Amino acid sequence: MNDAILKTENLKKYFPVEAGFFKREKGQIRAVDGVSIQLKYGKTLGIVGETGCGKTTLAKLLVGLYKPTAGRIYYEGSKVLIRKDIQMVFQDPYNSLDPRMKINDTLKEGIIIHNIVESSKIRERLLELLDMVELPRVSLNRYPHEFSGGEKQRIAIARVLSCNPKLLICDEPVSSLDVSIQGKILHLLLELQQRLNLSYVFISHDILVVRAISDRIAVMYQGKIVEEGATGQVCENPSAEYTKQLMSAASYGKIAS
Amino acid sequence: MRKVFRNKLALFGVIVVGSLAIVAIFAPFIAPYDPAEINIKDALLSPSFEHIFGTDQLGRDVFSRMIYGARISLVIGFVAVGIAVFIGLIIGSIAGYYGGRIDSILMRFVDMMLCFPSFFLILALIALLEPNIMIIMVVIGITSWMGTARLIRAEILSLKEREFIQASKVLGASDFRIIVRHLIPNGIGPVLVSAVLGIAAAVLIESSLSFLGIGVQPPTPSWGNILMEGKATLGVCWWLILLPGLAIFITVLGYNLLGEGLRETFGGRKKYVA
Repeated sequence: MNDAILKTENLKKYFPVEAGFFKREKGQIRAVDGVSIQLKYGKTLGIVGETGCGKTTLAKLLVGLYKPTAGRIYYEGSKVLIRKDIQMVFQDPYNSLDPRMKINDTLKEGIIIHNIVESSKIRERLLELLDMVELPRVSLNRYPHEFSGGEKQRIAIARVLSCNPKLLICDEPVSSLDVSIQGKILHLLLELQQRLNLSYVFISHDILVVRAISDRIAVMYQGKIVEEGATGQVCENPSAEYTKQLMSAASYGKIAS
Repeated sequence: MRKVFRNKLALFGVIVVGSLAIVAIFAPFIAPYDPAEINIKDALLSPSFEHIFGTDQLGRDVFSRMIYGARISLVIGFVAVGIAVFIGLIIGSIAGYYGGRIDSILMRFVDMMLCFPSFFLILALIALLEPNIMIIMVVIGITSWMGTARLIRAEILSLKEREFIQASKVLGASDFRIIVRHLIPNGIGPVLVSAVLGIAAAVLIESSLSFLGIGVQPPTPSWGNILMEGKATLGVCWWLILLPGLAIFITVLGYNLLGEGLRETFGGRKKYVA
């Protein structure tokens, strides 16, 4: 129990389907339907599944953007979410940075909110963050639209690192990037994990990307986890029918490219 | 901004608004006479080289009075719109951000305010209170914030679903911080356009009130009360009516053209470069 940084028990999130003038509830969408996962300190749990299987909903439950319909989430054994410890990297870096804010202000936000360092040392800290994600120091005075997709995702990563998190929920952090950039961002995430002793929940629809970064993989299908195990075992010797399909689809893709 | 200059009508608006601002700011240096200086001997002189806009029934120089009047009219326009935008931003952003029942209540209140014929509401309020410049600005402000509230609400409804707002939430930003630092700066474009148009409306309301004698009180000059004083001698002294009337017309036109130009440039809403 104590070696798990994150654990969920039978986590559920149903969205009501409302119809008609009086918004009567006509039914439910079971976006996340009884998910139990566990993540150990310093490890990476990959969650893979097709579009619409509830991956993003699960991510938002984990960071507290949604309230669960049922089930429990434990952070380091406690039910209380300490905001600055659990952070999220979003899918679309074009959308996840405020277009009207300079990088300076975007990165500063978390530091100010959580009082991470004294105000005289903020600038020093910002430069340190930029070095960590391998961006030039002059980036501070620029606006998001002056950067490429990969660079924006680096900024988004620097922003979540600003408040010294322990756990990062990465929701498709590389899916909207070019394949050549994907590798670099994955490499950066792995390096940061080693250096800062981070734990990751890494969500993607691409089983090859997940395989590259995860220690364990959970396969999600229609709101449920259909298979969970060590990366090698799930990829080499899948037991669930759906995982087999994912793997064979992925290898076709590999041959084609 | 370059696009605004390419649009000829908007350029006209920029010139009108800009030169009015210069006239208003440097009024004491531009005006040839003291606007309050009474000189009964020279009453009702028609325009000449000495008094280019003529004199009124007390012998005051109309040109000087109109220059000082520009000051009053524009200050009232700006401050009234400032008050309106401030109230509108608060009500609209709370409604848009929190949604649900709060939104319904606030927006029904906006609908209710819009149902009042606002000019008569202003008349009634000013009749109850005393007509001084402060009261006029506040009353115009509190009766014209509804458009701003609706605009910023609509902007926030769409902005709040964007990922950068969720990112701020995950980072731990308070609602206040999200609204003030992220939502309002990103949604302010259409509000600014409507504020420019609002200044024209406020100038017009102020002139109407002064013309009815419950706006800016003599001897303080305003375009509206110069018009009102000229009404008595309408048949003989055309300059007391025509010139302030033209000034109001050109000012309102200038602000409207500038506002329209800005609206066209920004396509009604701010576009984001991805």
